[in-house]
Amino acid sequence: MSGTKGNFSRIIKTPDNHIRPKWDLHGFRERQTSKGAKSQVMDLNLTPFIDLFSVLVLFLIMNYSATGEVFFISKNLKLPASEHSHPLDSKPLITITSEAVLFDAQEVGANTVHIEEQDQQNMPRLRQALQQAKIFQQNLRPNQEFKGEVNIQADESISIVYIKRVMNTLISEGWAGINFATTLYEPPSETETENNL
Amino acid sequence: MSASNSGENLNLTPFIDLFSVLVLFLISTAVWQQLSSLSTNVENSTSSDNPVPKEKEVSLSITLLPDKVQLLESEKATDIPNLSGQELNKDRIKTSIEEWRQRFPDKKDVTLNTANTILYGNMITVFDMVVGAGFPNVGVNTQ
Repeated sequence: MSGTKGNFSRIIKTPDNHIRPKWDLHGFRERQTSKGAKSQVMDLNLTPFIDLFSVLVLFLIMNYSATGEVFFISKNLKLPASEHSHPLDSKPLITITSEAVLFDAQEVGANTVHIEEQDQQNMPRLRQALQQAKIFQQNLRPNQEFKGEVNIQADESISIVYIKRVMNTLISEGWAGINFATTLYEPPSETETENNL
Repeated sequence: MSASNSGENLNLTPFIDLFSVLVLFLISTAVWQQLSSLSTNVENSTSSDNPVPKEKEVSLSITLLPDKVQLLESEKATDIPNLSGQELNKDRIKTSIEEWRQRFPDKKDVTLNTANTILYGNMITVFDMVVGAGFPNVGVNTQ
């Protein structure tokens, strides 16, 4: 018993150089004995971060539209849905609401509230804008025939008379290729159908 | 010292930088609402033009009225009343248009007439049905 001192009946042991706890705090002990050297490098595990980014990038690339979306849809405009439509090409855009008619997001006319008061010929600002756009397109492509294609977007809940009035103006100004912008109809999933039943 | 204990970690910072820029670019340029379009050829569809039908050629037209939808096959009319208000009886309309497709397999054009009070959404719904049944040339009467 090299650790025993004195002649007392009680045995006193000389403590070791440190008290060893039940769980050895290895890192703490190393830091205590390192005499001020604080070169502890804490590496953040970035692998899950990279995984997350990879999945996000793949998802975004899969849903990315290379055609580019140039149309501005106002918040209170709900386009009708269609199932058998084709992708919307970039053409001059006419937005029709019950309050106003917008040509390429520029206000060109105002719809009157009462349908009976509609004047089919009274859209001078729209006519002027269409004439300017026609001249611009003809100057831009002098060797090509003017097709007069235009996109119309309108709220599904407005009366058709607003559309007809704009269409008549378009036809009389030589814009005969009219496309109605719609959202792509998505049939309800099986789970939604089952829930409704 | 073995190679596994060399302690050399791959520097992932450029990867994170690249991915961050890519994610920001894709999110900022992403299209969240897919738009499509239905095309009409109005040159041959306005009633002001009033094209004279050729002999023995059947003209097909659909008229949307406030309380019903009328399918006109030359002079033979079929009325399909709305379910309620302006709610269309879509199933019956679709069935009737598909019958047209079977009876007139070579026919490509259908004219769409509408009363002034009809909702634009209903016109597009019928338009979509006609295109879906295989009539690519849909004319919209603007009178």
